[in-house]
This record gives sequence, structure tokens and C-alpha cells, in this order.
Amino acid sequence: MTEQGDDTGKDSLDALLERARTPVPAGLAERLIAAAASGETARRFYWIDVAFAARTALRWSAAGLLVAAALAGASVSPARRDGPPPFAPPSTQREPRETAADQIARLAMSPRAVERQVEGPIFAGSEDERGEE
Amino acid sequence: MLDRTAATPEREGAPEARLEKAEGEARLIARARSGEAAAFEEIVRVHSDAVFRVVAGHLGSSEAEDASQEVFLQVHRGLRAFEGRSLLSTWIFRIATNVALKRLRRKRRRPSSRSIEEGEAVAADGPAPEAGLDSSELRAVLLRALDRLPEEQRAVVVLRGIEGLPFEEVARVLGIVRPTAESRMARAKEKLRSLLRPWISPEARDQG
Repeated sequence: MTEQGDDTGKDSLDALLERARTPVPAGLAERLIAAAASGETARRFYWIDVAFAARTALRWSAAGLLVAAALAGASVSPARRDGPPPFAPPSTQREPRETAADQIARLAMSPRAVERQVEGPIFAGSEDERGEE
Repeated sequence: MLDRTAATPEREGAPEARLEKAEGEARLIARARSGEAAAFEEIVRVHSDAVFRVVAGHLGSSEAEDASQEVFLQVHRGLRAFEGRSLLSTWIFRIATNVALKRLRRKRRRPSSRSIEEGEAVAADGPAPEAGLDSSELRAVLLRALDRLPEEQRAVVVLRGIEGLPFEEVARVLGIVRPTAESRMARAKEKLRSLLRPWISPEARDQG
């Protein structure tokens, strides 16, 4: 261990960390040299990196799709909603439009037609009264 | 040929020793760049032990050799781009730290791997402190404790606490200033003390 003294005083934790140093296995350097020279090692690490990058890309794509689906759902959902239509203020509420059948019915009930309808029973009463005379 | 002790930080204190080392490294790098296999082998021999200890400090001994292979593969690939603005050892320590942290992130993303949140109590999972730990048990306990630290604190603990680099060198490796390295170490030690309390002897605990 090195210049610990110039930085801080050693304490029990420092001693514990020193004890935790992993011993280096014998022949490590030779194995590392052989591995660095081998194309197999380079290929292996290359494919590990590629696989990791692909997994990460897939994960982000899935997350992106979920977000897109959630946003699309939020914008479509009011049209799909069941139940009564949403409240509209009176200024925006309209009278129902008059249909052709309504127009015919209204014309059939013109003032003269109404007059004719009303005249019938009244004159009938009068006739009865006249008849009594 | 470089002295095998060149990677140890004892010799880095004095400026002249550092200059001498830098000159030796520059020659070695030039030879390795020119394709001289023996020069690269020398680089591996000089730095392999330290690289192994750094990656083992993060990942444990079972994965350390494989991670060390990855480190030296990156060193081999990157030597042409190495500009010599830092010491070769600083650059190699940085690669080793990056490789180890990258592997840790991968392990954490795997569903089968044990997450930090699951490791609720370091003490509850580990062997009984009273039993007295051998070094491998101690390393296992420490790895679990390191899992509870943020990456930037963890890197300082491994480089400074386990590998024993001076703070100046730790700061250079991590691209931070020395006071930042020191404050990260202080915060990490504070947390480690509470996590590893059962394994720290009572008399030493009182000191800490």
C-alpha cells in the first residue's frame, strides 16, 4: 500500500479495504497476452457489445411504442366514451332542425285550418240553439 | 524495458520519478505502436496485476480475469490513439474502471441479477462477524457493501481504498479534481462504516 499517510490517517476501514484486495492468480499476464493476441477474444467481446446494444435498442423501442400508444389512447378516448354526451353551454345548444314532415304538419295547421276546425263545434252548438227556437 | 514496479504508485510521488516513468512509457508505447509484440507484452506484464485488482474490486474475482482481458484488448486497440497526455497507467486504470462499471450496469439490468434494493442488509446476508472472516468472505461482504454506493463513490473506493492509488492519481483517472476525489472518499467511507460496522473491530470503530 502506498502513500496513505499524506492524505488521511489510516483507520480501521482502510485496514479492512486493504485486506479485501484480491490476490492475483499465477500466470495471469501470460494468459492476458495470449488472449489479447487472439482474434477469438476480440470477436467475443465485439458480439457481447453488439448483443447489449441490440437489447438496449429493443428496450428503448418498446418504451417508445408504449409512450406512443399511451398518447394515441389519450387523444382517441373522448370519442369512444360511453354514457351521455358531454355538457354543452346553452349558447351552443341548437333547436332540432325542422323536417319535411314537420313543415307539412305546420302548413296543415294554418290559421284558416285551425279556424275551420274550431268553427265546427261552435256552429253546431248554435244550430242546436236555433233548432230549439 | 520498464521496471515491473513502475505501475505501483510509490514511485509516482517525486516529479523526477514521474518524468522518468513517462519517458520510459513513451518509448514503450512507440515500440508497441510500431507493431512490436514484445512491447505490448511488456505493457501487459507491468499493468496486469493492478488492472486485475481494480476490476476484481468492482466485480469479484470470478469475473476479474475476463474483464482484464477486455481491458487489455481495449488498450491494444486504443494505443494508436493514445496521445500521451497522461501516464499510460492513468489511461489503463481509466479503461479498467470503465470496463468494470459497464459490466456492473449490465449485470444490474439482467432480471436474474441481484439488485441493490434486494440487498437490504449487508450484515444479514453475510457470514457472522463473530466467526472471523477470511479474505474471500471479507471480499464478498465488501462487494455487497459497494453495491450500495453510487458509481462515482465506488470508483474512488476501489482505486484509493483497495488499490491504494494516491488521491492525485485517483483524480486524474476519474477526470476530477483532487478535493472532489477526497470528498467522495469521505462520503463513501461514512456509508461503508455503517454498512460494515459488524466487521470493524470495536476499538477501531471508536477511532473512526
